Amino acid sequence: MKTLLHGTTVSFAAAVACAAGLLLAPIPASAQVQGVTKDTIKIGMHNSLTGPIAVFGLTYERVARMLIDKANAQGGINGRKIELITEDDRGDPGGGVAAVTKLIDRDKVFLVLGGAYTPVTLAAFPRVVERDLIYWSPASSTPALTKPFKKLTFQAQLPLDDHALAVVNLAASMKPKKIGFIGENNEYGKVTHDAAVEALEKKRLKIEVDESIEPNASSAAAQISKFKAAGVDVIIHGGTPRALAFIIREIYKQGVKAPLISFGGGSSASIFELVEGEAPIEYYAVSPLACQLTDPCAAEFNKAWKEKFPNDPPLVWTAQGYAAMQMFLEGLRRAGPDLTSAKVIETFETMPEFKSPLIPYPMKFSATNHRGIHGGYLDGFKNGKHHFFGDEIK
Amino acid sequence: MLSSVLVNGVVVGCIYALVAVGFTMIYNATETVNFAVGESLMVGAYLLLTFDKFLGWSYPLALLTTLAMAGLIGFVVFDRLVSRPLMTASMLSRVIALMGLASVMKGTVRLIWGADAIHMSSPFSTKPIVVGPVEISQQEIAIVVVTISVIALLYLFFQHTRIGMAMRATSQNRRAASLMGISVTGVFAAAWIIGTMLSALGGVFLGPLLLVDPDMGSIAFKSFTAVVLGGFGSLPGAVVGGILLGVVENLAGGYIRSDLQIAVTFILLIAVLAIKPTGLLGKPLAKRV
Repeated sequence: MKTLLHGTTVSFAAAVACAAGLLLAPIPASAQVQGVTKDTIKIGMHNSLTGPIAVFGLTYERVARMLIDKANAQGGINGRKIELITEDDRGDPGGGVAAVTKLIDRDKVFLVLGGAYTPVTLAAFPRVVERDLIYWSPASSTPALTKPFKKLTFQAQLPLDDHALAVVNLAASMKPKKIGFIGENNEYGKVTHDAAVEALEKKRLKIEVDESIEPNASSAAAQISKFKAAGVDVIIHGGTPRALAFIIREIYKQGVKAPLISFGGGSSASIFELVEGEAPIEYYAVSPLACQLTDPCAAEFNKAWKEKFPNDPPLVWTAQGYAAMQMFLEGLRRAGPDLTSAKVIETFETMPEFKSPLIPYPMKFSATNHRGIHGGYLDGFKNGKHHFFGDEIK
Repeated sequence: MLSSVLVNGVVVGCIYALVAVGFTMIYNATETVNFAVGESLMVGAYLLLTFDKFLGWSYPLALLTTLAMAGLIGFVVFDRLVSRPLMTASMLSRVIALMGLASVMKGTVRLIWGADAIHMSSPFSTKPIVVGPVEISQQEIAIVVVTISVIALLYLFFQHTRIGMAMRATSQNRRAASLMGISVTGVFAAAWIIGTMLSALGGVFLGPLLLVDPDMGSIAFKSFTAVVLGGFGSLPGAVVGGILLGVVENLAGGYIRSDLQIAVTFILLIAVLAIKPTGLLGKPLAKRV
């Protein structure tokens, strides 16, 4: 027998057995995984909290934080609390790259939740993926995130090529002779333009008058004058609310009767206020929801949001983000305590359909398709009144 | 199409001109390039939004209070806190200080009002008035009328008031003005007050045309272009530069390509400076060597 400290004695065989047990016992994989400890999962998020689309970035950040706080209050995910670290990408691609680099290298997050702005997403997600981390986006609608297929990216948002289906279905139903397009002079405008062209071609339609506008433009007179001179009878818009306000006012001022149909970037409370009041043009914007925000399908969401943010009216994208984050947290829970990227990916690919009353179709990923939401509806405004177009525009 | 494009160009040009005049006035008096002019415009829009939309005040009261508060910000923040302590510092130091102030102002606005874009109603009817081939809204008519009035008032101010003449004297020769008994620091304060009020007025006009958000001040960069185009230091040049810029921008969008609007305006700027480096109405600066 050997005597150790303070007269404690152990047998040599017992000591060897203990050492062997320690060496050979399986170490839980999550103990070695970046961003995962015994009691915490670190999740990073980049979003545009400032900049041209802060209205969307803030809403996604708030809804994510709201649901994560709720999950943590209920004990966390499989006994672990989620620590959400958000970085402001300022709506700038360089800012997005800097944000994810910091999240990965300094904060050592387990995965990154993606932001809402297309140009930033396109710059940021490759940086995450090249570090073998998951980029899970509840907010980005850029098709390039999941097409072509990428194992490490997930998209629980209606992609712009699906926006285009709703936009073009409605445009085609108006039997237009001439279609005009006005898009922002950036990646988002380009992606919406290309998606519109592809969807129109399938209906044997094309854009006759093609215009662009700077995101920080101070006028849309030239573009709308061209639409008016050409006699377009439908205008499709791909851009964000700031320049859209000029477009809408100019359409109203110049008396252009063509309806304006916008991709999802035009779905904003301020824009709706404008078309319901001062500039009552015929206007439609893509909505990812199964009903209007004021309808029963959104009751549970509205109650939860109002409790947390009583002075902050939600957008349709807030509700969509709510459903997406619910799916995310459910997937994380199903992945179990031995958390690794491979496990999370497998879980999301195989988990059953996630049904939310907010979303028109069940949300589902698969081993070959990481797009979770399919199909969108439209909010419409005519003569200052709000209509909602659902199944009739499938 | 030509009438719509021209009218809109003049309207937008008036907003550029208002901000450009304020910018020029500050530069003439203090020799400071005010890189926070866009944020002054943005603060003007938010102040009016607060008094008019959120507090429900009558528009005239909301407007007067907005301009008064803008003047106060010009005096307290721009003149006393930033410009006066750096009066003898290099131009670069003053520029950096103002750029820093611009960030602080943007951040403060975000803290108080949030980053969401907010719709600001126009006090006028938005129903267009059709005069022959021209469509124009009451808001746009108001912008043109007020801009002309403000420029006329400024002319009278500089020609027929003591403080106006003192500001002109200071801009010509600060030392001589001081020796003649003019309070140079008083002139500085007046320049910052009036300049900030003019920028805020630009924000008041711009707010109802687009959505009010903390980044709306980026539009003031075009006023800077207008100042250079018209001739740095020239008040009439600031007006001409602003309106010319607005018109050329719109004509470029209407008759060349809308995605070349910015390129065309910079081509114009380069062309003017190549022919007349001091700008359209700028005067050559002679220096004794």
